[in-house]
Amino acid sequence: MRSRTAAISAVSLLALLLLNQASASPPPIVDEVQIDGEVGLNNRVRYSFSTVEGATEYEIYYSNSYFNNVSSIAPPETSVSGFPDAWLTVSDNQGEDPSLEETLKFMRCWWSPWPQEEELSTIPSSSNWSEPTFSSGMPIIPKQASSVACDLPGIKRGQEVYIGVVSIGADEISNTEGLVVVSAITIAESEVPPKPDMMPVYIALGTIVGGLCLVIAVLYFLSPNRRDRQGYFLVLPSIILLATLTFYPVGYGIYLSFTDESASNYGQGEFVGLDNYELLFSEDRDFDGDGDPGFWRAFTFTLVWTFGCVSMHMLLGVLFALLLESRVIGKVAWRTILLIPWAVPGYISVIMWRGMLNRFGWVNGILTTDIDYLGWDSWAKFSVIFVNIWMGFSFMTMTVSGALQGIPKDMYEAASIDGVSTFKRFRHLTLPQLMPALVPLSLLGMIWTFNLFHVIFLMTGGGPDRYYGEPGVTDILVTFVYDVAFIDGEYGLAAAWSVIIFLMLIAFSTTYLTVTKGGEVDS
Amino acid sequence: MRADVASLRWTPLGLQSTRWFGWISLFSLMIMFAFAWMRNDDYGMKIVIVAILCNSTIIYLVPEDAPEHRASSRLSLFISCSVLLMLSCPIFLFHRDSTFTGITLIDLWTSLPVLLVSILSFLSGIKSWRWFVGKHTQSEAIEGLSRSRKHGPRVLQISKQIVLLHLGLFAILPPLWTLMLSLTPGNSLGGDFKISSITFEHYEKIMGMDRFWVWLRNSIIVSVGTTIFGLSIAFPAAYGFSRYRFHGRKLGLFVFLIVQMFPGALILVPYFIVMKGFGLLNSFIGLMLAYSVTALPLCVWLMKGFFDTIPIELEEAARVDGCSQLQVFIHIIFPLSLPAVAITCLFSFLAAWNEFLLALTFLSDTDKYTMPVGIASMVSETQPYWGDFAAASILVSLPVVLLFITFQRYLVDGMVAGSVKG
Repeated sequence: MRSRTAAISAVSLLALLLLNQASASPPPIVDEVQIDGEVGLNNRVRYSFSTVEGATEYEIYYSNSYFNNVSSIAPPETSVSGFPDAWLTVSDNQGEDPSLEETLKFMRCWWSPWPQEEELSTIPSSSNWSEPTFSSGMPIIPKQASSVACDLPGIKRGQEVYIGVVSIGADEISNTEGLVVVSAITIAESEVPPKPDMMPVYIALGTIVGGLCLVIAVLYFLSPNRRDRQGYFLVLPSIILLATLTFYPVGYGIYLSFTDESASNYGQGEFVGLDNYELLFSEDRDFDGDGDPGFWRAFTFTLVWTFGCVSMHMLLGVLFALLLESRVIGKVAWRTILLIPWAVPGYISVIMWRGMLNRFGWVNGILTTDIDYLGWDSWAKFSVIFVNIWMGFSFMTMTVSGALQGIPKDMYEAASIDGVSTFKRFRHLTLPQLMPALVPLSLLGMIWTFNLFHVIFLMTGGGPDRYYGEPGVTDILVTFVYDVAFIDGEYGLAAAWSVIIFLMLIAFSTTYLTVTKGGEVDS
Repeated sequence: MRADVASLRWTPLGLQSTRWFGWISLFSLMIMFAFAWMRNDDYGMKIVIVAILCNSTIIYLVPEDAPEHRASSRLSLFISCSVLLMLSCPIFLFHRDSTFTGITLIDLWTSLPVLLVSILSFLSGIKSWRWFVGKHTQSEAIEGLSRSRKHGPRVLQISKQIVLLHLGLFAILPPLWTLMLSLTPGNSLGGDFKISSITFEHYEKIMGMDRFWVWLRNSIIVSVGTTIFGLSIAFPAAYGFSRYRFHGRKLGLFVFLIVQMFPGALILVPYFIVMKGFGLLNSFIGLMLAYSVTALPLCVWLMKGFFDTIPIELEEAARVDGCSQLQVFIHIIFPLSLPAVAITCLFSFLAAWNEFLLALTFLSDTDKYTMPVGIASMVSETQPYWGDFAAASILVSLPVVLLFITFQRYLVDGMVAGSVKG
């Protein structure tokens, strides 16, 4: 078994300490930089450096390949060539502008008045370190800071990254000669795990199929009616398919949640009891050091997302269905147009909106605003919910207008003779008759929205701020499980999340089945 | 006597329509406020708040039926509010002297209903002065009533059309934007679209791209395979559940209902591990199996519901005439159930065609991608080929949208019966 935190190379290159030739004395080179690729999960590295005299600002460069001067930087996927990827300002004026702090969440950093520590991984919990304040989105560290540590998130597994820090003097002069560049490779899967033993799976599947056949056979010979028992043959294939491909995976998933199965440990998971469930809430999963391992954050946003989307769907659906059902010209045309958001394949709509909401995209152009709809915390939350409202309202309109057609019209005639106002007619006539359709519909909508994966996955990927092994700002439970399973490769933990999601869904489903009276099984 | 009733029931049409448009303009004011906020435009926000207050007052003051409290103070409030409202829009539009960036289309659009409602309420305020203070004559009331009857529905119709127009725009703008993007040269995201510079380069590029056709082929293979396999399992099952009363039938049906609630994400991890173990990860067979079992409950329920509507007497008559069970099935049931089979086919086809999550998880080889995963891979941070994406998505979604429009009724009913859309 391979330790997860192995395979790190932290190479620190010696500085070519050239003589300082600049006239207006730039600050000395930052030459004490160290890096720790082991921190947290596979997709970020942490580095730290000692501050130097006379610097008012530090520019931090990231690159995919080695560089020794700033102009030759090949940027990582997210940055613009030649520009620093992060800034640090040195000042005793402690700015405090929390509204802008969220724009630079990726710059998670800490400062300390003491020299660098060897153990970078303990920084957030160590009392020596404090977080900088922010002004205009820039982190500010005080002058007495003697070392700074930062996180670079968003690194892919196995990607090599180079980091260089440039100190900037008072007149924006800097010395990049002999820049010290450190590099790290994030944890890579270096060895192919052995082919797992599939025997237990074969046995389990065989047992399920055999057992089902046996049960059906017993039922067949026991059943008194000669004709009706033929039905077993017709139903058997579908039952077997369902048992092997739905119930077995669910059961296997529940079993997985009690093991430590992971990508590097594939097929050899050992039984660990309730460890995974404890881990969900434990400090060990608190990677960004805010005292919250992220479960409740994701859970809260899942609730906001579910109820926000479904309530807006229902509201708009009812409103527009009423409009479409009343006397309007061009009903068929409107109906067809309103159908479009539902008819366009979901993944295409989402990517479409992602393009429109891009910072340099159409929405900002038309509204003459400058908002990073998918990059700022609250806007990202708003955007994903808004897009899902766009995608879902037309379906609700269609279903509600179907339900509206089933309401007898004669009551409205009576009401109009009595001079009942429009609103009262809706409140006391339409709504009560619509309720039997609306309640199950909204429950169904909740189940769907709760499980909706592709909107958030394709819009923001759960981000901003998603690279810390914790749920990002817009991560709902379902999208985070995907990250845990297929980015972090922790199958056991992901299965534990899934089981918890499943328990929540059972609550929804039970309500749904109660409301619809068991789906009228034998209507 | 008749005239009395008329004067009691008459409300000037201008006021009634003000009420309708008032709601519309209140909504657009909210949007204006949001935009002002998004631009960090404090002054604009203040003006919009004043406008919202005026607008709400107008809505509150316009009575639906004959007013009980006719007071001139109310009238003056009404008129001053409408004047204020009328003023606030131009101020909002033109106040930005220092940072004036030009009135955008959006500004005009949001302030138009507000201007409309304020002018309307102002005019109707003058016209219905006499009504407001209760000094109108009976003949005026009769005339007004007939006017209301004649033009009232028209005003209502116009306001409905306005709401629907906005809604329609809201629904259709993103697809229109995509269409526009696919015809614009280059891969920019902005709105620099000109009729003169329409180009089909993206379409040509997509059509000439091998991978596009490979993805299309993969999607067709998977969807058709899913449909055939799923139907061949679901059809007999549905028939069995509908026609035979065996032990455990209700339990079976209930299980089929419950399974629809299982989240894809729950089964994802174990699916992945089992499929990996069987070596089905980068293969269509794994995907087809997964898709058909996901669509199975819905297919069974849909077709079972349809079989229930075929009278059993038909089969019994055939059997009396000497048909075997198989012959009954082939000659009676199958032809009759063709429409249901067609709809169920459509369902499982579309579900497989649009599915994203499982395909993303199971397929890692670019040549094995289905259309959804392929298209999603076209736009990433490193390769923002938005124009190509737009062209490809227009090509892919056009047939799907047409299918949806044609079969909307069935699809809506089926969707309620179970979850399908990917």
